[in-house]
Amino acid sequence: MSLPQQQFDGFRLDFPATLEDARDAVRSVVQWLADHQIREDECQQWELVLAEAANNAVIYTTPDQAQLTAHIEAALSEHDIEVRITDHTSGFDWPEKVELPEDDESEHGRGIFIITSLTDQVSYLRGQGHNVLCLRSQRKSPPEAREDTEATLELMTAEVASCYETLANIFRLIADAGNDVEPVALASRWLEELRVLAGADFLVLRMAATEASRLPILGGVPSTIVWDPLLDLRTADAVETRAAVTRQDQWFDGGTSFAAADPLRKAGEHISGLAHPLESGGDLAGVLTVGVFKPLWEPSARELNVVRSLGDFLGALLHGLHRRDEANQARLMKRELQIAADIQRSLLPAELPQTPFVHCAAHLATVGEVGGDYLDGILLPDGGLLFVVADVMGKGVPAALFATAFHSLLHSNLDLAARPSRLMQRLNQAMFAELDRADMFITAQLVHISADGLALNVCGAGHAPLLLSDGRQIQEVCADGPPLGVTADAGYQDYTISLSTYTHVLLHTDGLSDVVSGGGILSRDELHTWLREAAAATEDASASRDSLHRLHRSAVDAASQQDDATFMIITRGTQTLSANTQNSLSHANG
Amino acid sequence: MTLTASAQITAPAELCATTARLWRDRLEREIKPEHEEACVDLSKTRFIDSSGLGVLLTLNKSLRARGATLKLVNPSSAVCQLIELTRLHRVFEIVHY
Repeated sequence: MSLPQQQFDGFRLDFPATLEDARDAVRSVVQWLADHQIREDECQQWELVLAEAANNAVIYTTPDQAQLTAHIEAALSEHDIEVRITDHTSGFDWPEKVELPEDDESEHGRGIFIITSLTDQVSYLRGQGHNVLCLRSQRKSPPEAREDTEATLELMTAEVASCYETLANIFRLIADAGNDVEPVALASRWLEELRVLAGADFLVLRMAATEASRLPILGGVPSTIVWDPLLDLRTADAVETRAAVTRQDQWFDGGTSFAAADPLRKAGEHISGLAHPLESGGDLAGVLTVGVFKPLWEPSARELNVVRSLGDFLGALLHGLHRRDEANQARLMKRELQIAADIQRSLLPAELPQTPFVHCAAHLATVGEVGGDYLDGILLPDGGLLFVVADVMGKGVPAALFATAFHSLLHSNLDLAARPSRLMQRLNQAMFAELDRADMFITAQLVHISADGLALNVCGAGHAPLLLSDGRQIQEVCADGPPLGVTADAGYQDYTISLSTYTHVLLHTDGLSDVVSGGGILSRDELHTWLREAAAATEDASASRDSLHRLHRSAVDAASQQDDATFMIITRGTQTLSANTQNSLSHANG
Repeated sequence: MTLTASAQITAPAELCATTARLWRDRLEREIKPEHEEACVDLSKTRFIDSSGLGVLLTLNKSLRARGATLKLVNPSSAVCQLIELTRLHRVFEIVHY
């Protein structure tokens, strides 16, 4: 007979199918009931019932079933006692009506009557070599509350002391955090405090980052352990990962099988402890892991309370500090972008130059606070015109600073304006070192138009092609040179075009018509169609500018994208300047 | 006064399926044909099951068949309750001293 297994309020025992072993099994169950404060008279009744039931479980055993064991299990609830006896015999038919033998003096036929008379509920499930008899009775007396006043008082005292200690530490932590300390320093100091309070050997604290799938380390003690700086919640099958994902405490001990990539392996092989998830406002704030360098950690209720309560508070506090830092960072970023936008605006011409033969209107994109787009129109001393559209890679202050440098260099080298390729080369030479150091580049297009409006010279540096139309056809002039800042000794080339046959010229950045088609930005074909129709319809540059802006706006609105198009329309005509040319430059954000 | 030949037998602490055969053998040995009654002392018997009752019924039947009687002496309250539950108090003569 195997040893009885006792767990919680249950009893289980296998026993060989003999009368002697059945009797011993019944004694064990009854003793277990007695041990669980079942009254003596109840135990006596159960002994009789179980003796009858166990006998039935073995007396039908055939010789070939002799090696099979029967099984008895008992369970206690607040109100009931339930016992199940399982056997592997062929079983028997449970009578539909349970009565005493008609013959009072019959020597047999009372066992089932005794069972049913002394229990509230009986069911017999007969199967193929597997029969189960379930017996249930209400407890005659409710379980007595076992109150050990002294022990209870002791526990309450310990709990109150623990609460007081935790509360006192929380007050100290609040005071400490109020000194505007840096989060890492605060975490390190308090992890050391927690180590002492919890009687632990090591602690590691990971706090949630902006990227939800990663938990970077904020602190760990002792400093001799070199913890992994990052816990990847997507791939690592680690104890801390389970705590973070399930939001439930994860205990580990000498029997825990750590995955090869589990960061806790850094603490040693024979460790035990607890990985406790930290939450703040329903979000995962981090994971605090507390452990000892031995296979089993048995913290007292006080120690566990301190770890959980103080850990939760520390986590919430650090999470709040992190949020505050993020908000400060966002404010700084916003301010930086405002500065960049101011710089960008200061570089723009108040009005684009107009001549009797050449009209011009432009639209400048402003993505968010500031973009990297730049445009300019300069009336040269000889009456010629230089038009510039450029795009500094990147956003914010760095892009605005390079746009400023580009603007200054452009205006200080206007003597080269009639030869855009030489001007472009000069700009590249002057800016290459700084752009290369910052790992940035600028695409640009320089267009020079002669004073009589008949000749156009264009040079590109990695920029979108120049488009020309006479109302019937489109000419696309691709820029051949590399962007500024890519090659120190880059060579550029001018393309000369007679403007006598064209009425519309379009310079633009990638934001207007990217190589991507159908993504909300105008496709190449759409842009060509529009330009052809605009060139046929009007010589008014501002009207064409407004028309193209509406077309682009409807495309980006449909795709819920931002207006990031910068473009310039140059028209050549014989009409006098329209009133619209007084508003030759428009901005996406007003 | 006529003296009745009586067999005095003390039942074991447990009269159940595991002890029934031995108990039956013992009764056969100790109760002689000349005994007009058999007194089974149940005062030390704390547990009886249906098999134990069966042995007592067999004994009762065999004694009655030859005109002798069976007396169950001083059974515990638990044993009495079982006898009453199975309505054997109508069959057995129970005496308390």
